[in-house]
Amino acid sequence: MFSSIDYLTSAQNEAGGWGYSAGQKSVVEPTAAVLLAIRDEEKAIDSFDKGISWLLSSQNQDGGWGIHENDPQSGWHTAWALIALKKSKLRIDSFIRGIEWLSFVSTNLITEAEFKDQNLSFSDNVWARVWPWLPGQGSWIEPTALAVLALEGSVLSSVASIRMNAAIEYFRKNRTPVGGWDFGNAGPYETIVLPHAYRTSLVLLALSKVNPNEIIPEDLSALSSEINQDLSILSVSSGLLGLRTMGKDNVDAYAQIVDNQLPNGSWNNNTFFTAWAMMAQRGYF
Amino acid sequence: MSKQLISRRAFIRIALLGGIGAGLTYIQQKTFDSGTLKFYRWMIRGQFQRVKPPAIVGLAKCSSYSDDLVSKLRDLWDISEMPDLRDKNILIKPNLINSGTGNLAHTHPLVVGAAIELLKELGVKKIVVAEGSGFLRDTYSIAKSSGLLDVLDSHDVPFIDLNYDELIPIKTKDGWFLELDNLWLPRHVCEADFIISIPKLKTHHWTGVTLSLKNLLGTVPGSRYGWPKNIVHMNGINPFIIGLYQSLPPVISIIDGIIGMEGNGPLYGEPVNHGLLAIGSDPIAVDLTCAKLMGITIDKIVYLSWAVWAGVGQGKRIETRGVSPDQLQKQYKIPPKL
Repeated sequence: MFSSIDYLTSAQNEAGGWGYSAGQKSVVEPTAAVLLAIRDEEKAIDSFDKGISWLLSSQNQDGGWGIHENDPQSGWHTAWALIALKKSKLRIDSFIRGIEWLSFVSTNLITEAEFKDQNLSFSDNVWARVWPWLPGQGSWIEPTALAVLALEGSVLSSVASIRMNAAIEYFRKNRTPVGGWDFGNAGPYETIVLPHAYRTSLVLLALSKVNPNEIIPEDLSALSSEINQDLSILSVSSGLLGLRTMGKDNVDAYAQIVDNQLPNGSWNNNTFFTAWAMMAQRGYF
Repeated sequence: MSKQLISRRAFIRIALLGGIGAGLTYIQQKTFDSGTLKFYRWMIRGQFQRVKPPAIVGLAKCSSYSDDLVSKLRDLWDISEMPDLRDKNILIKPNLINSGTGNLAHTHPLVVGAAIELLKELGVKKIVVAEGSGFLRDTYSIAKSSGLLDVLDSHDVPFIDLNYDELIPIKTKDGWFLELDNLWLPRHVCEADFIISIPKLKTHHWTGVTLSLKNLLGTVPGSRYGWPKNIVHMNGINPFIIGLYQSLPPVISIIDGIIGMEGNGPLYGEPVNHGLLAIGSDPIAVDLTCAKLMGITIDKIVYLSWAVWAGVGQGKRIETRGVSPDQLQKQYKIPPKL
């Protein structure tokens, strides 16, 4: 039986990044998640430094990140790159350019120029101000939670601060009726929307950093009940991490993570899932 | 008697030319968004389908998933003039969706299993089954809970979560994406010689029906475009479906209509004991035929009516083989607000 660290270090590409599975071309999201997972592992210090180097080398000219160095369209991967770079002795100029890109990225209702000019129309519409997957698109829970995690703790422009506040309001307004969050849709035609463990955990991680008072008990109970609904190790891992971040635990979830580890040390042969499982086991993001 | 300023014949000519000019201006304005030349190219191609050979759609009655599905599919394959798949790489694309309401919304795993057995008989080189959930981060878990993974294990066929596959940028074709020159698609999709789209026969609250063309949206990778795949809607879901289809390898349709879904599909509809299996190498013809068998007219399905009009496939001349459509006709409840 190999350890998860063995799996992740063996799955690292020569240039330093990770694909979603071993042998696959490096992608920003799994690379950033793995870097978070291994950052305190003594066995992985070299891997960590190489991973950070790959992230820095794959930044686009506009300051954002696409899926990898060959993707010129910056998007939601920017938030993941910044979250990982925060954990390193980062190169300040790359980080600042990334923060700037994320602060002003356009939505389907407000352009980048309007954000830069602080010409924020739709003042009563928080959806217009929070974060899309890709520039110019509508806003969703997951990229918004990731953007909050990326921006929190940094010195922000006034527009970025306005957008962070909008994100908190957006989370409040988009909570499902039972607590927690799905992907951000109100639900088709009056059907009941159930929260997803992964999105709920991301929002809890974000709110715990910027405004823990916004978290209500129903969010945690919803997460506890949804953690194993879809039989996904990602849901179990991220759900457990969300609970542990809030000082709760779930013994069954922990046992399920342990039971589902493959002999090669991974979960589902997926580096991204493996990173979340490792973070859930140790209890912090 | 005063001399006329302009002869009657000249007046008619001027009026005709004026009318033609006004008509062309009107069309140019109406087609400005898509491009006038493109509009005419699509229209002429659509009309040209009237003189091309008909598309063949095979239809069979199949009342239960416990029937001999392989025999049914084999018989349909034999009568439907399907392409030679010997030594080809095949990607099977079932419809897996997280409905929270049991397995009704999914393609039944036994239909996928039967298709795999048939493909092996046909001498294909390699088979993978692949899907990329539009909402859930882990399609593998849906494949597991739906029973599909057990079926694939028994046939020794791998399951690929397309949301986490390596991505390749491909040039978009035929002008349906107004602002997209490239589309990033999963490597397994790009490297397939044929895609076999096996959707569940069901209604859909935005597009009217989910059939073999709409099912292809699962090939769009979340790792690039997010969950849900917002790019689909930014471009307009109807042109996106048509443009995506044309950017993919050739698509073969097998429709799981043994138990269909009506009403508030694709997630929350009600079951219909339809007893239908359909097959064909032209997804437009297959989807059109199946929509008719659901009692849903083409004007309710925008992407299909556009695809037929633009000659993306053969929607003008369709020949059904096997069981007569009259014996398979149903009337599905259409989704609310469609």
